[in-house]
Amino acid sequence: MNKSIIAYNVPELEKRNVLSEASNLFKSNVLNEEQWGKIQVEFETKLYTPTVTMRVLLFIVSLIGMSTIMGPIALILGDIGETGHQLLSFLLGISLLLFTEIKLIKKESHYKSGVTEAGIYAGLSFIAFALLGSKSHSLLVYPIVGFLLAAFAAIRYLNLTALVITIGFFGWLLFQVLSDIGGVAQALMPFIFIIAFGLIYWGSNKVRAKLTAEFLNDQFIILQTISLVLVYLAGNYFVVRELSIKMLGLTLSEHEDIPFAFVFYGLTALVPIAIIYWGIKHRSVLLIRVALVTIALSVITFKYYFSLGMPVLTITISGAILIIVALLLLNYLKQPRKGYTREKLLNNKWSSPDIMAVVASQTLGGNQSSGSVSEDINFGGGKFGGAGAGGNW
Amino acid sequence: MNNTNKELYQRNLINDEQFQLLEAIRTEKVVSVYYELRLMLYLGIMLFAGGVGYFAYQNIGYMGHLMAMTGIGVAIIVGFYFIRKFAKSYSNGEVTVTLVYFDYILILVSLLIIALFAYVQVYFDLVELLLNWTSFISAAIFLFMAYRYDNRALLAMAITAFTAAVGLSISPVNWAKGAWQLSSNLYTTSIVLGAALAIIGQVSQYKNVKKHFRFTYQNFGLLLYFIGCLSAMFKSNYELPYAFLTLVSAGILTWYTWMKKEFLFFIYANIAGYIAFTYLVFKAVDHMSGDYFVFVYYFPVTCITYLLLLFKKKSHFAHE
Repeated sequence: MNKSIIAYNVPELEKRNVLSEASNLFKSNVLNEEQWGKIQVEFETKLYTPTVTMRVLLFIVSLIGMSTIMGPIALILGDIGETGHQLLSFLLGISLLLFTEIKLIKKESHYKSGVTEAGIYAGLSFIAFALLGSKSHSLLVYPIVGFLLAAFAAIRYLNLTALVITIGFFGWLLFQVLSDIGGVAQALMPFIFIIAFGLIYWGSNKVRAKLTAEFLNDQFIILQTISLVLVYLAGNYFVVRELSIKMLGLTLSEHEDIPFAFVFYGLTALVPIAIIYWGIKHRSVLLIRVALVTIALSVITFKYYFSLGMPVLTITISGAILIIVALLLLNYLKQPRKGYTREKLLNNKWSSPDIMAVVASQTLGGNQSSGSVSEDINFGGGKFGGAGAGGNW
Repeated sequence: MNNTNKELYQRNLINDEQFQLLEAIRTEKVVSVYYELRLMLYLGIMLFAGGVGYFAYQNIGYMGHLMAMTGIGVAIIVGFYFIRKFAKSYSNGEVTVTLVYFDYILILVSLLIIALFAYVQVYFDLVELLLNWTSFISAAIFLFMAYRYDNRALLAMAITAFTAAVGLSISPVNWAKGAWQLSSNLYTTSIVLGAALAIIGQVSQYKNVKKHFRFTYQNFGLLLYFIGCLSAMFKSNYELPYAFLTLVSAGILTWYTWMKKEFLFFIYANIAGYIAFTYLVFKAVDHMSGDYFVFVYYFPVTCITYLLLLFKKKSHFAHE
């Protein structure tokens, strides 16, 4: 791997990765204080990363500061017309990127400090505006420009948000190309998506096994998770049906099915099962997590089309099933079995009783103002609140 | 470079046993489903309790109330049996219970008690009588369970239920979305309650009674306080005094949280303070010339100055 592709100093990134891994091990009581102390000395890095909350603040302030900077400059220059604005925007974007890279990253050793993110986003947005302007282009132009800029940020600055956006633009590009070609290509779209993202998943698995760069772990987790979810969604009956109607102009009457409906019903049911089977067999947490999400989505999909008309009962029963399954598994895994354990091996970066408290209060009721009907106050809080679905605490 | 485990092992920073364990985890020879199972339990409880509560509400006027009530009652009793069996006695410190799903039973039972309470209330036509008290009673139940069995999630639910009882809704999500104003003129209530919660948090720590509850109290308290202040600033007839109140209290909190390195509350204070300050500048411009061109410069200049100030003290907030 050519190390100069990445704007950061790779040996420093590696040190920082060891430090953050070790810090988690220390917090999980795997390392003792003495070991942690030694590691801190041996792997001291000059990369500068503030605490999470501080990064948020720095990001917001820098973003406001950088994105409003065009105002004064435009004011000084006076009326320069549309092209002038585009040129100015381009120069400003380039200078913001150069400032971020040379001053912040190279000189001050900022690494994900919030300011760097703001610089990258603001810089790229200015460049995007410069390239696209306010005229309308062919629908293919937007995803191409977006994809290239986002991919640049994702690779050179290891930016995770940019990675997600890159994948999004890639999906859009693929969709646009296929629907522009039309005909067979359009009809085969779900399968082309499944194959494309399946290949991305498979390929990234291969690359990951070869690469020893552990500081890229988060990148791979995100890439693989999204690819897998997209493989599932491309075959999901609801998604295919709705997208065919809304985006590709398919007209269906009330009870009419999409062509080859049984294929998509099959995929909706079988893909999650396949994923969970592979996940359990190969003990891959990533696969298991994706499988749990897709199973939930499949249940909702089938419920949507074959509803029994008793949503409350469905909710209660599915809640009861979840509780029972979880308790049974907890009991079953009292002793580790087949490599699975119910015990916490290492702390999750995001788990904290304080975060859980906020999530619970926002999802489990108690947070509805009594201005309305008072008797349903206790269960209004979040029957459908999906906040818990995304993360762990 | 090697993988982290090998690197640490070769440099003699971890021992054999630790290396074996970490390699087993890295290569997924042993996998923990700790968080997955907990998430499942949590979702299950959320759906089940929500469903039971709503089911009870929906079925008023049909047969089988007593059975439904008995059912919920039995579930509560069974739950309490487990709670009593595994709970430790009350302590002012943090209490850890060995049973892995203890917290979840606790939350489920609390929610069921409240569902039963609502059911009884509707069934025996007590709604009108208890109209103003329902949320207070829910809050009291949550609060008791939170303190007795040491649970922060229940405490957060108690606080939100209590604020709901006085007509407010607090949500960090709204704050993050930029919904800073209250929908009705409850700003005084919000300010007083918010300040009270923040103080309770401080007292808890000072008196050493459930110190770890402080964050929950203050997180909600400060949100309520600043949302109240900002709403008052925009809506009341005393906009200037409220703007100054916001600015001054945000200033004090900024100083305090900076010293204590509590950066989440530092951010709350800074955002509220900045809004109040901008508002005052806006008013001043309005009063003097009405030349709003100033604001083209105002935002970049203030933000960049602020950043430079922060970076002068860079080491203060480096690394966790």
